[in-house]
Amino acid sequence: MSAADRPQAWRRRLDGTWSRRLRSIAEDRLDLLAWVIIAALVVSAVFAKPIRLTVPSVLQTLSGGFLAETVTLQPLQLAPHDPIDQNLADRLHPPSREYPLGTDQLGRDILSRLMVGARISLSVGVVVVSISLMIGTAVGVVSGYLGGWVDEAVMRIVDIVLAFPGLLLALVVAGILGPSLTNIMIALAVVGWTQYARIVRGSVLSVKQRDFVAAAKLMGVSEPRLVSTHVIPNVIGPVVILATLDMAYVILATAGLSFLGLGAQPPTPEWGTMLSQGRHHLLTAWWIANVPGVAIMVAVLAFNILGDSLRDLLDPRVASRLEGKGGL
Amino acid sequence: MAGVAGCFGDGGEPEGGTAEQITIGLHSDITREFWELYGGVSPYWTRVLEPLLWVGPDFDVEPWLAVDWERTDKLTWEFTIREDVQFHNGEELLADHVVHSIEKLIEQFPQARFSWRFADLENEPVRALDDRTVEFTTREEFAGFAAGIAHNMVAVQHPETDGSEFNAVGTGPYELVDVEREQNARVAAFEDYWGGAPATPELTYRVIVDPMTRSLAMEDELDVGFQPPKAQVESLRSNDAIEVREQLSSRVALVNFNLERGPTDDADLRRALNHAVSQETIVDSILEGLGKPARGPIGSIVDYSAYDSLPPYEQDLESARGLVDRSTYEGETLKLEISNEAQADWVPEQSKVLAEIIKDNADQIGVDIDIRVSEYSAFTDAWRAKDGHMYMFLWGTKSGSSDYIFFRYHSRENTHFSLGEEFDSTVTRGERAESNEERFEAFIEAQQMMMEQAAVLPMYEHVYLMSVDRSVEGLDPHPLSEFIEMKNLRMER
Repeated sequence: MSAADRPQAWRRRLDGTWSRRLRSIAEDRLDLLAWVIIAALVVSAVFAKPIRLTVPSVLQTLSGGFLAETVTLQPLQLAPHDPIDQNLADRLHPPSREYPLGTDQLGRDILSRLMVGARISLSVGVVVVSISLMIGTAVGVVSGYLGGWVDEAVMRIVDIVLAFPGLLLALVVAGILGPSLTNIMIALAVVGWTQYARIVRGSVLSVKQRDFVAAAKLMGVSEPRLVSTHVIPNVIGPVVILATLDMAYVILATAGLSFLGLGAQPPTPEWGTMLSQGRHHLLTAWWIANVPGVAIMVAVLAFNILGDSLRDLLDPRVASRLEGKGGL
Repeated sequence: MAGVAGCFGDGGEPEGGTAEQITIGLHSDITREFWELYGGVSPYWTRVLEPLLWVGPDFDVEPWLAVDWERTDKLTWEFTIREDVQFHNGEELLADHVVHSIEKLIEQFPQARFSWRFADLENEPVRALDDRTVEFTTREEFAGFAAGIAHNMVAVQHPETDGSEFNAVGTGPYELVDVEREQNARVAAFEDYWGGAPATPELTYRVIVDPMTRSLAMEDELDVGFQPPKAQVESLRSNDAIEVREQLSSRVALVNFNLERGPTDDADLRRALNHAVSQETIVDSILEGLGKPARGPIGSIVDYSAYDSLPPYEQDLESARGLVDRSTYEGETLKLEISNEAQADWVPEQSKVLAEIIKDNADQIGVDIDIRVSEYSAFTDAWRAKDGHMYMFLWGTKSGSSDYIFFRYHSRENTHFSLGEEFDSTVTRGERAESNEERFEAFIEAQQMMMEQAAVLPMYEHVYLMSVDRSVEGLDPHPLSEFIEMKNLRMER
């Protein structure tokens, strides 16, 4: 093999590994089910009802009237009914052809509310996890790479935050800030970044001892470049897995806080709020509380399985096992 | 569950007789810290402590620990204390005990000055003229004083009462045995009660704040359950062993408008919102018919309610839109504040549903409403800070008088619901009236002014419910659930 052929060989080998890994996911029915559920949630979240963006009046003025008051980003609507339209004549309607998952105490279609609720749960999850991940990664990298008193100070702060039960701290923060979805996101991000910081810091401590980092230093690579091109790419694998598992936690925590009245405000169709409002009808209209309850459970389970699946996909030990065995 | 006095068969199974203990599930936490003033347990329902005057089922004020009372001056009232009343520790009730109880109330519950108009402590609000006579002094002329203190919170307690030790020494038919905070309180029959010994030796009050849990507990844990969720009534009634009793109460679910802040300072907008909401629909659908469409701020069951003379704001979306157009409303988002905690008979989930209905109805007339749900303390903070446009309450008297309903609208209290000088003088006229007729006339006029100005959006008059084991006897409903007499409560086995 000539030197010119080597990259292609590596790529072929890499491609082969990835295709084997993906095939292994496809063959594991539980993994596949999790991927399908999450895909369905994403489709539901995006297409449940049109996504319209309100354009700030300043931008409208600056555009000389080119921009309308609202811009439609996604015009489709999969939800069969408007999720907040009340129809008291059809209240507490059991599942039927018109209302596949029944209606609530105000005659609103549960399926439509569930679909729009998926948008809320996933949005909160993505925002909180992204913020936590960014803050945690930055803090972890700085702490692990610089070491010394910086590391000591940062890790003690992390210890202090971790000393409190996460959900309880989020409850306190949400209680202080007042009930709203935005405040729930802040509350969860305030406590969520610490675990990322800890994992990233540990990985950085290990990576910075590696030969390729020393080689890069010897070659005169600047420290910011060294961190961004050599350190971070080598610590991001576990972070991605953690982020996936964290999505499950954030969805559950958001539903929990909303159940307690600290999150989404009525009439927002958030799953925890729906569950809370259906409690009083458990014996007479079981679908109001059970449907969002099952949705929360399925979504959390799917993200947890996805996390495991991603770990298998990204873990080098699994890769070598796959290669050694020529696939599962 | 109830223990049993009477015969047991061979297998140890009860064969009849009277229950030695009855378990009552309450919707309100009677053991919370607030009640330390009364020995650690609420004077509502428990019947450990008693007031000087009682309220009968027709809102008549009846003698209780006081047998007689009269207004001796514009600001002073004399009460004669009942003879041969014993505290649970064996001591006899004297005027000094009443003085101690009222002074403690004024000292530890600042709102007492406003609710019952007691004079400040330095002005001797209460004094013993002799062992059997007590003189009260009010802050201002207040014709409703006697009816007002017919209230369980104006309870007489022995100085040995100590909230930190859960030691409540009163004169009631039951004496406190023990309290487990946020869980339960146990009371035992006081054999030397002045009104005769109670029928059941022991009552256990269980605090079950969640209505659904309380309702389910009726299956095997409770003999009486207060306030089951209205959605559960049908299910409970399908159980042959359980009876659901209903009683129209004095309380009204309503929305208060902030009259100081725009745009709700505009009467046309407030009238429009009143015309947007259908009280009948709320009662028929959300309350399962267990309520009465409200017309004003004071329930029709109260003796000076203006219900009959108030024209209802019927749902009329066309008129409502016209009123919105005529008003100063320019598309602002109105903040509707509600609390997510149970207050009195209030079920938080119900208030959310009501808020959603109001929001939906307001949308139909082009008024935008943002619902803000918060904890009760945050809710009251927002109210005091005048930080919202609308506040949802379940209001009503717990005494023989409803005068304090008007406090919130009188400018002297610096509220943001003040309706102006004419309203103030009408209320003051009622408070200073010499006769009940004169007083009622002024209060009815005040309610008419409130509704003409649409100061509130009344929704429904509250019906409270009790789920009761069919073998329970002697539990008669009362328009003020706090005055339900437990002394005659008994259960056949």
